[in-house]
Amino acid sequence: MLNGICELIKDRLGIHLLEYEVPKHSNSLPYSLGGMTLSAFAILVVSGMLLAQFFVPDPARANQSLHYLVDQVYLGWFLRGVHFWSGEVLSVTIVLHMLRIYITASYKKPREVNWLVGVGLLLIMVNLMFTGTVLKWDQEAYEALGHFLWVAGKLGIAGLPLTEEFAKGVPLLSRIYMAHISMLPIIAILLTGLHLFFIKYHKLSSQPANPASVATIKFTQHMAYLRRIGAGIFALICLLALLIAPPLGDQPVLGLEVTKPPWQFVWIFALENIWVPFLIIAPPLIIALLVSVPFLDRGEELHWKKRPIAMTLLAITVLVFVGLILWGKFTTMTHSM
Amino acid sequence: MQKPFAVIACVIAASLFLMLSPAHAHGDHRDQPASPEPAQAPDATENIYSAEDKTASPDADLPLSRMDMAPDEHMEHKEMKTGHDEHADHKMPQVKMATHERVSTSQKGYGLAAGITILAGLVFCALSIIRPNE
Repeated sequence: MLNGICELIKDRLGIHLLEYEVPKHSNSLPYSLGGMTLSAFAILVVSGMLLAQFFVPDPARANQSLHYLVDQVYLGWFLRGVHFWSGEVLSVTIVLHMLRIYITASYKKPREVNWLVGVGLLLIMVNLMFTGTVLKWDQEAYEALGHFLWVAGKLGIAGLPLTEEFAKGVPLLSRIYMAHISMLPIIAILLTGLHLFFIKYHKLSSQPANPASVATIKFTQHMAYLRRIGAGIFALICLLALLIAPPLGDQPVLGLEVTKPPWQFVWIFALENIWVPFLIIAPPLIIALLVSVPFLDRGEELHWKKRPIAMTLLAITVLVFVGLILWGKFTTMTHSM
Repeated sequence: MQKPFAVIACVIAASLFLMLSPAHAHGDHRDQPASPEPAQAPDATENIYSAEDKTASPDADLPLSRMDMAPDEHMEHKEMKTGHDEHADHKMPQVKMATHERVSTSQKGYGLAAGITILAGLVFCALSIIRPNE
């Protein structure tokens, strides 16, 4: 009887259309990092919608509303923890996913456009992370926004929409809130749809170590695997939220610079200490390098052992970023804006 | 299959280590905050939506454009603020640094949160063992 019901539902919902063949290696951790990222993003969206019920996007009340949420609202601390740790997990999985794509050369022909869509998604996630950290409106948030406004001011007319001058009388925090809860998530969802479309269209890339492999599974089996991975991701996020509270300071004190950004941004904080204009130069340079990857590396080799230049550049990049993060995290900066 | 999992697990563990390290002051020459006081919950009877906000910082309405000053103007501004007053030091505002703290078991709904976490873990374990449709 249960089988009969399942067949009925399958027939009504068109699930049989999902039973096409995909490579067997789809069901492996390296090739599921994108799915993990998507799971974390889904948890962010749901927890974010719940958080929005309690957050007041006004500079005079934003920080207080968060303190009220974590101290007074039943499970409010847990909800905020789930949202925060989902962002942290997403930060890790998105980078690992990008590294896997690079190592397996999955950006090569015919998947160049999907790499570009992925770069777009990375930028949106970075912006979501930044706007999210500003919304709590404590000292660290305020200083982060101060740095951002300094950069926006240096960009002249191009930076005007990002400053208070663009909409006088409207608190910048309110506009950042709008971007965080609507504009950026909408763009992220659209780009994710495009990203998944191109994966379906070009099919999952083959394993460089075994390009001729014809072993396949049904896509519904891959979805079942991703369901298990997603459950694991959710369990991990809940555990982190249960044990470790995300940081939350008090209302900011103007004119002071005493905090450091979260680890996702502390590398640029370290660069600023070397040379302040890096704040303006580094982001577009990194974006340009990422965008150029599939157009610079056009060889036919896929295996990482046969791409020494690409792997050397990757190793240098990873070492530089890790070094900057560690330096920024564990040393006391002496530069101030 | 074991190797990539081990690498990924190590990366996640290292990332957690980085995330949990305490935030340190930016700029040694500035006043360091006093030892952190425990967060005071707002008065349970206080309505955060009340028209009169007694706890709002007097600086909250100041435009952010003050942070938009050129670095040299910013420094001048800071010097003017702290300049001639001999007693400026002890009146400098203290900033309580926000850090990761262990969640107290006395938090509202901790039991339910623990139950949700255990349930999520059990679901993951069940899916890992049974592997339906995989």
